[in-house]
This record gives sequence, structure tokens and C-alpha cells, in this order.
Amino acid sequence: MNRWAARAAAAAAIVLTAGISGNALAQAGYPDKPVRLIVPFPPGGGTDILGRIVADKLTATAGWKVVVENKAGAGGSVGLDAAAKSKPDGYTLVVGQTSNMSIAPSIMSGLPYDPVKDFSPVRIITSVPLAIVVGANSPIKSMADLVAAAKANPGKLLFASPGNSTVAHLTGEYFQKVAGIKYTHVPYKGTAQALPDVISGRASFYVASIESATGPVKSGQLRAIAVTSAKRAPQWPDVPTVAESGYAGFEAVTWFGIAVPAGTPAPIIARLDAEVAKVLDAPEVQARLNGKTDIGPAAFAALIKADHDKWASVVKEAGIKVN
Amino acid sequence: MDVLSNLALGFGVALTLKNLAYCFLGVFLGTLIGVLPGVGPLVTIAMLLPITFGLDPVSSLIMLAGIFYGAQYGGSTTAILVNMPGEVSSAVTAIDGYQMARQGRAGPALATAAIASFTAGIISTLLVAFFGPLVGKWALEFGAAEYFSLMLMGLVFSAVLAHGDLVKSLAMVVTGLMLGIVGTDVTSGLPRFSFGMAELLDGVGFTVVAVGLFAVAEIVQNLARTDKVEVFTKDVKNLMPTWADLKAITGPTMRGTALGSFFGALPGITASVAAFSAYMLEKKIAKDPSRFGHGAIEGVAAPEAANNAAAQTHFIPTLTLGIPATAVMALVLGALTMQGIQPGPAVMTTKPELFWGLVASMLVGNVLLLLLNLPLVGVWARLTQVPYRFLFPAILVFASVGNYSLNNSAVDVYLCAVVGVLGYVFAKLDCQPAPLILGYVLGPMLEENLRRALLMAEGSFTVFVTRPISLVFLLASALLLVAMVVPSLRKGRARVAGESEGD
Repeated sequence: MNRWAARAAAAAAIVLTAGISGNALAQAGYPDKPVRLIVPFPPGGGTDILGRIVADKLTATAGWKVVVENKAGAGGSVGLDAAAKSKPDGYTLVVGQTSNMSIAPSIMSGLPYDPVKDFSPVRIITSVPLAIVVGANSPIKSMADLVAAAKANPGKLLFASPGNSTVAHLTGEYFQKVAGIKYTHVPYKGTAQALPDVISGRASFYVASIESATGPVKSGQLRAIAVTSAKRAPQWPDVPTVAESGYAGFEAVTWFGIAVPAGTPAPIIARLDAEVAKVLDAPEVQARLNGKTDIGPAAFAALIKADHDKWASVVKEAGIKVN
Repeated sequence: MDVLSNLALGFGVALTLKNLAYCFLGVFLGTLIGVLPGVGPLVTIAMLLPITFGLDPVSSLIMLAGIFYGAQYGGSTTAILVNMPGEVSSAVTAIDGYQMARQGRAGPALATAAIASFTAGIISTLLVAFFGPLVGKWALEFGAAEYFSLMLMGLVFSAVLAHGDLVKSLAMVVTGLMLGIVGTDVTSGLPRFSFGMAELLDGVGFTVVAVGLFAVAEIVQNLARTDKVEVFTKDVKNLMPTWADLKAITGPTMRGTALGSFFGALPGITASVAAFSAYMLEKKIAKDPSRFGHGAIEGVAAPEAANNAAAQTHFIPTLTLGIPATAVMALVLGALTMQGIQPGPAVMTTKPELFWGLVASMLVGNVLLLLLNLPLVGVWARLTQVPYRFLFPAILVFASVGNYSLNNSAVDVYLCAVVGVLGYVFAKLDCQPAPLILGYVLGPMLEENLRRALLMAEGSFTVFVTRPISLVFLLASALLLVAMVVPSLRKGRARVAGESEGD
């Protein structure tokens, strides 16, 4: 406590004597107090694990004190809203992702924040492809089989997703549009509920993050027929992409990235970006992420906008109700 | 015997000094966090996860599992002592456990919880050992139609809960259903009764409801009494249950174990449903159901047995299918995957030391928990002698901290206060909180599975009777209804005929 008090007093003295702005001061000594990383999901989920990897590594390599704060609710929008309304001084970071930064504006009319105006993107942590999987006993062995089955019985195939308006759900709707077919969407409350129905064949196929399907695929209960990224997923080199399966240009991924409230001084964003990039480059972090990405502030901002436009048109054409 | 030699292998793994230490660390931490409301196994395991990467997979699994089932033991402590369920699944224990504590029987209540949990833990672990893979396959047969019929049976059972005023009980069930509806509808993705608050889009949390309804309302009720300031009890005489107590809890413990083991093996059913079902069953078959809610020892034994049994059998779908039954199990699964172990049907053959080591460690862990918890009974029981002017503020502070820390959200604390006020009103109106909790827990699952079953069957209701498991549940519910209605009809006729009949 004493050290803190002394530091604060010293800082105050500098401000008073030199008369420099608070911003400049903050940048010079940044960070001189613990940095808060808001994870807008409960502990234990994918977002939380990524957030904790970055927080731990920033603490270990940069010597910063980064504290993870789980602020869950409403698909992450509660946590993002809290971040948007925080002081833009570089001491509040947030882990945003496709759903709450690019999709939410299209499906939530009362979204309390504007992902483009209220945030300054810093850096993408990772991009995760989605997997399209079927039960091991399913006659469907490829995307071509899936499309053929859907064409033979329009509306009869049951498309399971881990929830309404998730990236997985919209990806299924997106493919429906691209392939010109029709199936019935069956939303679940997460993967645990959906898997028994998919494994047993009660649901025709399932779209979800590659992590949530890896276990049952490796144990032979599920068969992966495609991944949705532009390139094959490093962990599943034998599984073709949707694009390879005859739908060139098809891409749907969930990205996770660090953002700060809009108005955070540019030098702090640059510093953050550099430190986060260093963390992500570490081999032990690479080993746990889905391949290397190098998407800094400008590219991240462009990605938020591009994905916003892409998903907005899917939401519109699929006739998904806006709440 | 194959299983016996496998168990021997398992004990060889679990009884090494290192794994014994991790097992103890796990159950000790679990007991501790179980006692603190809000700090659940989920948060603890999430925070410990990075540490476990340095351990070997078996040791880390043994420790994480210990935290999980240890929390089931600890959660009952605050439920009994201060009417504040430390864990979701111990909300049911609070109903009769707290009443026992108020009657000066906190010791026997705590000991009963520990003994019932222990018995259930051992039996259900043996079930995992002998029937794990078989049960896992069977659980896959459960789809939306089966879950719906199962939940319906649960609600029919709950009609039994309606002691006292039937209309009031029904009103409470409906209130619970309405509370459960708040939040985003799974099927349509649209918000219901969220009043534009983002915090309500995920619904009203269980801890918020349980703590508000039980702990907060109880405190307000006590403070409202002007006649006398009631202290729990001057002296805590018997710490341990009597022979009569032990005899009384044998049946409920066994039945609770059976129900808990069954529900735990189904992915998508939480331990609180198991605890509730066990409680309802005991009440149904009790000679004098009116004792329930007023300190019936069976009402502590059955749900405690059920939730601990479910905690062990949760590992069946997790390990044999790779399907996590709960968020905690999802974390355990994640921990294994990161260690390069693929849970699934093959795990028992590819990693026998892991599966059997875990099974053996659960047996060891339950013994450790009993040894840890029984001596603590005396310490905890003395807590009931703390004067209210210290105890009440402390409980409220803990309740608020717990609710806040769930989501780091002040809204949950306010909501809990609102529910507390509601709970006080209910108490004044003589309405029981149990049916409300039941409606709140079962209602959303019932609706979701009904709609999903119909969606998948293209709107055909026949799906509920053409699927055999579903049909069995529906028939059982119908039988129950008949069994309940017929005696009351007969009684009514008897009364008309002017005969006296002892029931």
C-alpha cells in the first residue's frame, strides 16, 4: 500500500510541477497500475481460456499486472458494454469476438454499444474455424452428400446448432443460401445438449466450433465432413474446407481479439499491440492457438466491418428475427 | 473378475502418495469452496486449470474431480446452518436441514448430510466402475422427447409437494415457471420478460433465486418478529445422529442414491433436478408428509445422497462419450483434451490407468471427505450459537458477495434483494418456496424439450408415444396421477358415507 501511495504522490507531483497532461503521463509510465481484462463470458469457456492465456503471458513477459474480470451475460454484450463505458486510459481491455462485435448489431435492436464507434481494436488473438459434422453412422460422407440429401428432401434435414444467432447458426444459414438448399434449424443450448442428438443421428448434422467437436470426432462417434475456414484447419489436415467442396470463397470463422474503449490514446494502443503481438508469438502460446494470425489494429477494424456486412446480409436473407 | 482387477489397477494409481495428496487437496478445496456461496467449483477449476498442465493427467483429473464432488459436501453446510445454499444442488437440503438446525439438531443434520453423501458417493462410484460404458451408451438414447416426458413425470411428482393449500402450491409452481421463462428463448432466440435489460437476457440465475428466497427472506422474517429475539438454540446437545436417525435415513439415502445416479448419467440434467426428485419421492412415500419442511431428517438425507451420486455419475457421459453433462464437466474435459487425452468410448482401453485411477480416487476421496467433515460438524454446529446481530449481517454480506462474484454484476445483487422481498411476502402469505423452485428449474427444460421434439418431428405429437423410453415415462406419470386421484376419491366417498377411516 505504501508503495502505491508513494507512486501516486510522485505522479501527482509531476503533474503539478511539470503541468503536463494526464494522457502524456499515463503513456510515459504505462502501465503503472493493474490492467483489467474483461472477459465477457463465464470462467472456463473458450473466450475465458484465451483471455487467461493472454493475461498470464502479459504478466509473465511484459511484467504487467493483468487481472481477468469475467463479466458474462447476453452473449458477451454485457461485458462489452461495460468495457465501452470504461475510461479510455488503457487500463481496461476486453476480449471481443465475431458474435458480439460483428453479428450483435444485426440481431439485437437494443444493443447498448456500437462495436465500430465505441471501440479501438488492438489485435486478433486467434481465428477458429467451424466444423460441419455428422453422426458416425450417417450416410452423409461429404458436403456433396449433404447438399444432395437436402435437395432430395427439402426442409427435412435437421441442422443442429449450439444456439440461435451464434456464428454456427448463421454459418448454417449462410451455406443454405450459397448452396441453394433448405433444411430445418434446431437450436440447442450449447454443445453438451446437441451432441447426443447428433451422435445418435436424431439430428442430421451439426455446425459448431472445431474445439467442441474434436473429442467425439477423434473417438469415432462423429465424422467431420468439412471445416469452414478458407484453408484447412491445422488440427484436421484431412478434412476438406467447404470452399474446396465446390463453394469457392465460402468462409466463416469465429475470431477473438483484444479491444479497448474508443478514445484510448494512440501510443497506448500501439504499446498494447506490440506487447500482445509478442505474447502471441511465443511458441508455447502458438502451440495452444489455431495457427498464426497477424491482424493488428487497422486490419482488425476492417475485419469487424467486413464481417458485420457479411452477417447482416445473412441475417436479412435468412429472415432471422431481430429482438 | 475383470472389473475387480481393473479396480486393483486403479487403487494402485490412486493410492500412491502423490495422488493421495492431490486427492486430499482436491476434496479439501472443494469442501472449502462449497461452504462459500458464489465461489463454486466452476470458478475454482477454471482458475486452477493452468496449474494442472504441469501435472500428469491422472493427478490433475483426480484433483479436479475432488474439487467437484467435495463442493457437494461443503455446499450443504451453509444450507443447513444459515439457510443459504452454498451450491445450487444444496438448495433442496436447505428446506429441512435449516429447520433441523433451528431445532438444535444442526449436528445430526450435518452428519446426516455427510453420511448420506458418503454412502451415495461410494455406491454411485461402483456403478460408474461396473456399468459406466453401458450406461453411457444408454444415455445417448435420450433425445428431446425422452427429456420432455421425464420432466413431465417430475412435474406430476411435484403435485405431491402440494401439502397444505393446493391452490397456493399451484400458484407458486406457476410463479416459478414464469421466473424461469425470463431470458432468451432457446428455440426462437427472442428475449422474454427481460424488460430491455441486457443482464436479464440470460435469465434470473439460480443462486439469485435460491439465496433470495431462502436466506434473505428468512432473515427479514426473523427480524420482523418483535415478540422475542430467537436464538437458534442455547446448547447444541447431540452432535451425532441417534440410532433412530440412522435407521430413518437408510431408505432415503438408498433411494436418493438411485435417483441421483440415474439423473447424473444423463447429459443435460443438473444435480439440482436429482436432489429435487429425491426429496419429492421421500415426501410422497412418507407416512406423515407434513413433517417435511419442518425438519424431517429424510429431507436432508435423500437430496444430499442424490446430488453426490449425480456428481459421481456425471463422469459417465463425460469420460465414456466425451459429452460434458455440466459446465464443470466441460472444464474437466477441456483439461483432459489439453493433456492430449481424448475422452470417448475408447478411453477405458487406451488409458485404463486414467479411468480406473479416477474411479478408485473417488472411492478414496469420499472416505477422505467423511473423515474431514464429521469432525467439523462440532465446529460448524457451534456457529448456530452466534447471536443474530452478528450472524445476520454476516450472512447478508456473504450472500451479496457470492451473488456479485458470479458475474461480477451488481444487478444480480439487486435481483437477489428483490427476490428476498418476494420471499418475505410469500412467507407472510404462507406460500412454500419449494414448488416455486421446482417450477423454475423444470419449466424451462420442459418447454425447451417439448418444442425441440415437435420441431424435429415436424409438429407430430405422436413422437412422445412412439419412442419407447418416452412412453414409459408418460405411462408412469399417468399411473401416478391415477394412484393419487383414486384414494382421494375413495376418501371423499367414505366421508359421504359417514365411515371413519384412518389413512
